[in-house]
Amino acid sequence: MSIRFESLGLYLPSRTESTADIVSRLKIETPFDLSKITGIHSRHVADESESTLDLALNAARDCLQHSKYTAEELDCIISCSISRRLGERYHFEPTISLLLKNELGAQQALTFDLSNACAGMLTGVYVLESLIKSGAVNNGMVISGERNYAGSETAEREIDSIFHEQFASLTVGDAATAVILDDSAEENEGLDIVEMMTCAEPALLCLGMPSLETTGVALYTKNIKLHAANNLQLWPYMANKVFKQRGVQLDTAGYNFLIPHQIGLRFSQKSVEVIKAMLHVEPPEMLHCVEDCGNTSSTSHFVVLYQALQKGLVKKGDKLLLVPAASGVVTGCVSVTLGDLEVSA
Amino acid sequence: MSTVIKGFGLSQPDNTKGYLEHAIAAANACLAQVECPRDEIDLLINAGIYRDNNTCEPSVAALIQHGLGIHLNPITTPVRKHTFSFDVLNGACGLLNALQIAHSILETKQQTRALLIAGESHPSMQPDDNFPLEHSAVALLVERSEQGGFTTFQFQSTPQFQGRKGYLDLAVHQTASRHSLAFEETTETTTLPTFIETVVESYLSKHNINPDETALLLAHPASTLSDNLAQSLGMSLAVGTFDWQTLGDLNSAGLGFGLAATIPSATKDTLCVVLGTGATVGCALYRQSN
Repeated sequence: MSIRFESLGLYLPSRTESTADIVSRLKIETPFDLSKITGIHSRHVADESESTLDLALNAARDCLQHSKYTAEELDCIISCSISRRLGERYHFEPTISLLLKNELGAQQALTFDLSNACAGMLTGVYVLESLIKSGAVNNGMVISGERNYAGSETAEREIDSIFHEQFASLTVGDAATAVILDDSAEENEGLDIVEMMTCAEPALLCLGMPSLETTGVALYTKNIKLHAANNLQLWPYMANKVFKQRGVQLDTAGYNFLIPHQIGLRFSQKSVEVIKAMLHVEPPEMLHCVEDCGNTSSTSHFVVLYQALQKGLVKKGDKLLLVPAASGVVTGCVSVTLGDLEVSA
Repeated sequence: MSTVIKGFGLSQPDNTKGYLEHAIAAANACLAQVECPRDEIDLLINAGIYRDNNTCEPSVAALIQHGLGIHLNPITTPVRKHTFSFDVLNGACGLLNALQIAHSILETKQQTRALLIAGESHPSMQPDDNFPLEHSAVALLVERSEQGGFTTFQFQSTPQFQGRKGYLDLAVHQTASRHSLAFEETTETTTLPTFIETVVESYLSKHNINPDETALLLAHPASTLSDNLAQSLGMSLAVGTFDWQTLGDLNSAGLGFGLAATIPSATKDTLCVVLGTGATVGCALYRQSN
C-alpha cells in the first residue's frame, strides 16, 4: 500500500514586513546584513485579529477545495502548530485539532495535536502514514497554522547585543498549510520513505517560552552551537543509512528536488558543504521560499511545495526529498513522488 | 499484531516537582523494571499537556529524551536503534492516542519498542492553588506482540460539552506568563454519561466484546461515572482500581495510573475508557495474553 499527498492547502496573510524594516527598529546597530545572510527579504504577518485557528481554517478550506474529500469524509485531523494562539491566549486544552474539526464540520474525524517544533507537519505525515497503513483510518489531514511572528516582535523589543539569543526569531514569518493523505496512490506515486529521528544532545540549544522581560513568547537559540558541523552531520549520517538500506545513494535515487527546512540560504549552503564532505555526492537541487516568506516553522516544506506547484517548478511525477531540521533536534527523510495536485493560483 | 505493555513506571503525585522531573523519574523506573537498554527504544511519545515554563519548543519528548540520555548523538555514540520522539496533545485522552499511534507505527514501520510518558505539572513547577491537576507522571514501555494487548481503538467527540479550557493569557499574565496558567471549567450536564455509554456500547458491539468477560477501567476522577457506567453495561470494575478521590485529577496520566494498578493482576480483558475535554471519549480493549 502506498500513501500519497492527495491535496494541499496554503494560506499566507496579506500583510508583509521587510527584514530591513525589522532590523531598522532594533535598539542596536547590526554589523551584518541579515537579509544577505538568510536570503529573507520579507515575510507574511497575520493581523492581530487572526488566530492560529483562523490561519489553519483558511489552509484547510483551500486544501478541501482541491480534494475529492469533503470535511465530513475526513477520518483524521492532526494539528501540528507550535503557536497555539487564540487572541492573546495560548491554548493547551481543548486541542486546536478539535476546534478545527468542529469549525469544519468533520464529524467523523479522529483528532489530536502533535508538537515537534519545526518538524511538526512532517511528524504529522509520519504518524498519519502509519495510521492509514495500519488500517486505523483511510485518510486524514495534517495541518498547521503558525503565528510565530509574535516571537520576532519580542526579539525586536529585547535584542540589545549582536550576540543575543533571539536573533534567529527575526527570520520567522506566519503561514498555514494543510495536506490530505490517503491510500489511493497510483503506480509511481506517493510516499516511499518516511523516516525521522531525534538526537537529543542539542535539545537545550533552542527553547521557545514566554519571555520574562517583556510580554510575549520568545525563542532563545544558541545558533553557533546549534548549526555547528557536528549537528549538521546528523542528516547526511542518517540519509546515508536510509539510502544504503534501499541499495541507492542520494545522487542515484532519482530526486528532482530537495526541500530543506527554510532556516535561510547560508544554512542551506553550509548543509550542502557538509553533505558533499561526508557523502561525496552532489545533493539534489534545493527549493526555497525564504525570500518572501522567511522561516514559517512547521509549515515551511509545504509552503515551498505549494508555491513550486503554483510556479510550475514541480509537476506530476517529480520525486522530492523533504528534510526536516527542528529543535530537539529532529532530522529525517520524507520521500514522495507527486501525483496530480491542483493548487490555487 | 497487537501492542502489549511490558512495564510501568510511576512518579506519584507531588506538587513540589515539575513535569520533567516527574517524567524522567517515571521513565527511569519503567526502564529499570523491564531492564530495557536505552538504545533499544524506537519511539518516545510524551502525552503530557502542561509543561515546565510553558515551553512551546522543542517537544517535551525531546527534553525527556535528553534527560534520560537516550539517542543523544548516534555519530559520537553509536546505537542499536534510532529513536524518534514527539508530543501528542489531547487532554486526558492523550495517552490512549499515544497508544494507538505507537500501535500503528510499531506495526507498519517494523519497530519493536515505544516508551510512552504522560503527566502534568503547573508551569511554575510549584504548588498553585488554581491548578486543578496533580503533578505526577506515568511511563509505559510497549512492544509489538502477536498475543494479547491492544489492537483496536475508537474515539468520538461531541461539541455539546466544552469541558475544561486551559491556557496562558499573555494579556493577563504578561511577564509572568512563563509561570502562569488559567482554567475555565464548565459543568458537565446530566446527558454526558449517556454520551459516554453510547460510544462504549458502539465499541463493544463493533468488536463483538462480551461485557460479562470484560472489566471496565474508566480513567476519570469522578468515581460515580465509573460505577454507573459499569452497572449500565453489566461489567465489573477492573480489579485493583484505586481510589481516584485520593489521587485527584491526573488528566493525561490518569489512564496510565489505572493501567498500572489493574493490568499486572487482571484476570479478565480490560476495557479502557477515557474522557477528555471537548468532550472526547476514547475506548480500547486490552486483552490478556493466554
